[in-house]
Amino acid sequence: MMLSNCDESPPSPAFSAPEAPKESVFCLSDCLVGQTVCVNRIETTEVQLQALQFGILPASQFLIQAKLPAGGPLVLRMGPMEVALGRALCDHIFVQPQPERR
Amino acid sequence: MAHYPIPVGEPLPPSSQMEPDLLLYGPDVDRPEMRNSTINQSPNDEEVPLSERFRSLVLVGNPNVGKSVVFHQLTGQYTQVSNFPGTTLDVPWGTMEDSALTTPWRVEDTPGVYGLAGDTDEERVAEAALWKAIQVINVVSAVTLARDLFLTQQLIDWGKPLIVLLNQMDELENSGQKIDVETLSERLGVPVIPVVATQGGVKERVIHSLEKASAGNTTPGSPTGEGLRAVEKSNPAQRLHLYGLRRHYVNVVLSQVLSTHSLTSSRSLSAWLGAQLLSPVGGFLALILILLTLYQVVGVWVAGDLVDFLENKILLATVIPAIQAYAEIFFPKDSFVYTLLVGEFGLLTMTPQYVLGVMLPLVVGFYLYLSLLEDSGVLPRVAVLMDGFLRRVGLNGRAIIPMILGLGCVTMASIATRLLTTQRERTIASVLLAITIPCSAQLAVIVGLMAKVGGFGIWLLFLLVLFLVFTVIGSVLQYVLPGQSAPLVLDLPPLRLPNLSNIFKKTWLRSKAFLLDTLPVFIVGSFLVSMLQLTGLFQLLQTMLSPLVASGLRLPSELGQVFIMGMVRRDFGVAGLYSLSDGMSPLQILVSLVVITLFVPCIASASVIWKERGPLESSFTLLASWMLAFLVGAGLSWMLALWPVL
Repeated sequence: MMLSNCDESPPSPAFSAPEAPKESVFCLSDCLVGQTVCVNRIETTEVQLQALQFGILPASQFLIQAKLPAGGPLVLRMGPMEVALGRALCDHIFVQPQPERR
Repeated sequence: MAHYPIPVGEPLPPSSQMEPDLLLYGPDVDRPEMRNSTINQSPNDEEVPLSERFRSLVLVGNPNVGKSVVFHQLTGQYTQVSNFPGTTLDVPWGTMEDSALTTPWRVEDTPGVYGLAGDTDEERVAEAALWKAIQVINVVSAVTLARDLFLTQQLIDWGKPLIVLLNQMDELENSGQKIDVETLSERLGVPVIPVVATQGGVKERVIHSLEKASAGNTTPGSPTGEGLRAVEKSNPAQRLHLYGLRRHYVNVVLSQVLSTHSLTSSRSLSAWLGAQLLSPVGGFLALILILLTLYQVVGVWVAGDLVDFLENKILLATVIPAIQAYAEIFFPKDSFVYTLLVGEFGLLTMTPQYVLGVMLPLVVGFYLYLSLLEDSGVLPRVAVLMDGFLRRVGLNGRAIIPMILGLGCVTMASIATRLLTTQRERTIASVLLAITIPCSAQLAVIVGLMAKVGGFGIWLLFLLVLFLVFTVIGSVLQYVLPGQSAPLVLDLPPLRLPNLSNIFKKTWLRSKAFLLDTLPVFIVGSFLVSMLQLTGLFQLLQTMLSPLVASGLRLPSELGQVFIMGMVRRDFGVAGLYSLSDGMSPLQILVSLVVITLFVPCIASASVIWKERGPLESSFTLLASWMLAFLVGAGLSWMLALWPVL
C-alpha cells in the first residue's frame, strides 16, 4: 500500500525531508491560518521528541487552523486531531506550504 | 477514499549512539521470562500484596480517550470524567467482579499520558502503576489512532500482556476515517476490541478477552522491558533514536490499517464552533460571555436569590433560633458552654449558617458551571486563548487549568500545579494561586456582594486591581527566577454536548468533597474563634488590627474580625464579611474584597503549599500575601478617596 507523502519523494532521513529550495521553506510560526503545510525539518532534540509523540515528523502534513495573537500558540489540524503548539516549539519546525486542494 | 497521509520515511540509522548494555532485550527475547523479570524488578513490589498483584489490571491511554468511562464500566465506580486533558491526577482503583471471573480484579485508572518516559508527574504516576500491573488495557481513541498508537507500541515494547480497547468508534465515521480492526490486531499481536464506552457493554467484552491478552509484536530493533525503560530514561539522543524507530514502525502499521476520506477539517457545527472559539474576536467574546454567565448564574441567581432564601428565611428565621431556644433549656444564656455552642460564633449556629446557608449553595453553583465548561471542551480552548498572556507571567496555557481549579478550591489547585512541566512554572503558579485567585466560596460571596452594591464599575475596578497584581507578581517572578517556561503542547478534544448525568455526578462529588473538607475546619474554626472571644483575645487582636483596618484601609474597625477569621479559612472570613456588609459603602466593600482576596490563603491551602513547594517558598508566599493585601488595600482606599469614582 503506497502512502501519499506530501511531495511523493523517496523516504527521507529522520528529521529533515529531502532537499527543498530554501525559498520554499518557512518557519511554522511565520505561516498563515488556512495554509496546508508539509514538515521539512525539525530542529533540536527536545522539540523532535515532543513532535514524535504527536506524530509530527518530516513529510507530515497539517492544516494551520488558528494562530493566536500576541505570541500565542498555533493550532494545527492533522486529520481529525487538533493540537495547539506554543510559538517556541513552532520556531523550530520548518515547513513547505502546499498548494491549495479543491 | 485516500490513504492516510502518513510519512514512513527510512528507519533511523543503526543505534550508533545507544550504549550496548542498554540493549538488553531485542525482539527475539523469550517473552514470558522477560515479563517475569520485569515484574520482579518493579520498584513498588513490596507495597502491594501478592494476591492483588496477580489480579491487577491497569488502564493506560492518551488524555481524553475515555479511560475514566471505561473504568466506570469495569468497576461501577465513578471518577471525574472530563472533556479536557489532565482530569485524573491520581490513580483511583476499583474492583471488577463478575460471575464469569473466578477471582476479582483490581482495576486502576491512570492519568492520561503521551509517553511513559517519566518526564512529568502524570507519566511517573502512570509508569509506577504500570510496573505493578499483571495486565494492561490500553484505551485508544479510534478517532486519533494515528497519535495514540505511539503509546500502544511503547506499551507493547514494555512487554506487559496487553488488550487494546478501540474506543469512540461511533465518532470514527464522522471523522472521515476507517480502521481495519482485524489487521490492526494482527499487526500489533494483541487483541483489539472496538467499543463505544459511553454506550456500555465494555465489561463483558473485556472479561471475554482477558485470557487472550498477549505481549504483542515489539518494534523491530528496539530494546524491550527493563532495557527499554533504561533507554527511555537515558540521554535525549538515545530516546530520540528510539522514538524515531517506534514512530516509523507505527506509521508502517497505520498505513496498512487506517484510511481517510479527507485531510482537512470537518464541516460539522462542533468544528465550526471550535474554530470560532480560537479566533481572536470569537475567543474574546466567548471569554466575556463565560464571565457574564458566571456572574448571572452564581452571583445573581445563587448568591442573590438562593442564599438569601436559605440563610435569611430558613436558617436565621427558624432553624438557628430553634437551636438557641433548645440550648437555653440546658445552659444559662451567656454561660461559657452556651456561647461556645450557640453564641455569635457558636459551633451549632455559625457553622450551619455559613456552611449550609452561604457556602454550599454557592459552591454547588460554581461547580455545576465549571463542569459544563469542562465537559463541553471549552476549557482547553480557553487554555489556548490564554497562552499568549500567561507566557508573559512565566507560565503557559496549561496553567489555566490550575488557575480555574483555583476558582473552585486553591488547595486542590495547588496540587494540580504538578501538571506543569517545570519547577519554575510550579513556583510561579503556586504564588499566583495563593495570592490572587479567589476560591469558589470567596468568589461566590464576592459576586454576591458585587450584585448587592450593583454596577459594573465596581466589578471592573475589582478585576482590574486583581489583574494588575497578578501581572506584576507574575512578571517579577518571570524576571527573577532563572530558566524559561515550557512551550504549550495541548491536545484539543472536540466540542461536545455535555452529558447531564456526568455533570450532576461530578458536581455532587466535588460538592461532597468540599463539605467533608470544610465542615471539620469550620467546626474547629468556630471553636477557636469562640475561645478567642471568651478569653478576650479576639478583642485584643481586633484592637491591634484596628489602626491598620480603620486608618490604613479606612474600613469599619470590626472588620478586623473578618481578617482574623480569614486566617483560619478564607471563605470563613469572606462569609463574615458578607454578614457585616450591610452598613458599608461600595468603596469599603471593594477595598475589603480586595484585601480578603489577596490575604493569606486558608490553613488547608497553606499546608498544601508548604508540602508542595517547601518551607522557604511557602513562607515567602504567606508573607508576601499578607503584606500585599494591606498595601494594595490601603493604596486603593487612598486613591479612591482622592479620586472618588465610586
